[in-house]
Amino acid sequence: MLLTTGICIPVIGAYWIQFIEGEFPCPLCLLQRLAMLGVAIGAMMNLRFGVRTSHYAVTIFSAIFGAAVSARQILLHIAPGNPNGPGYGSPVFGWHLYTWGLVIFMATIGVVGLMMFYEKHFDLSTPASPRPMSKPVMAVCALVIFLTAANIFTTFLMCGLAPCPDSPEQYLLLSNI
Amino acid sequence: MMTALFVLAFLTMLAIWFGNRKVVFLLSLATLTAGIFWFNHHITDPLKLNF
Repeated sequence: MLLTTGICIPVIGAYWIQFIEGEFPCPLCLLQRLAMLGVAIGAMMNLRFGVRTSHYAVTIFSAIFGAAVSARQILLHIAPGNPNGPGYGSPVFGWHLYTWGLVIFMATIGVVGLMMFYEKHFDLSTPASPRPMSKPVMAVCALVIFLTAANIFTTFLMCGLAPCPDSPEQYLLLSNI
Repeated sequence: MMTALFVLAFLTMLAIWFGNRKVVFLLSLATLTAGIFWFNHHITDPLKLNF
């Protein structure tokens, strides 16, 4: 449950920067958000169906995908005098969001690796059927689902059904009204 | 197109909520595959690295 809650924090932080500081997410930023939601999906499966290695696999694959996207974006901006600019968006605590993204994805892989050492919580004697959700679990799952729905809405406003612009500066659908 | 990726993730989470594990695996695989495809599509700028 900590992993599910924890992965919500950077997504909420990204929304803070989008709405409060007025910086629009680029396509690679959106892909990193998607990968964070993928990490949450694996963690939510553990909460709903019980702890299984296959659920951790979903988390690890999503984290690897997110790390690849973050690394690609770091490489786009890493060289001094780069024509792509010194970086995309404002730094937070000295680092850009995609650098934090890489740290978060690598930390996720590390945390999942540590959790897999603890073999007692893999109960393979019972089938992986849906379990009743406690209120805190329901609240966390509802938060992740709400964040995903919010991403659908804002991404649709920003890009519509077309590919998103490389450096978005406005909500395309709202500018056409 | 990016909107569709979030729709896929949303559907995956609804499948978790309603307790259908097989659908969750299928949809999460579809989301990841579509994400990789879209990432590949966006790799158009050449990296200008100077080591």
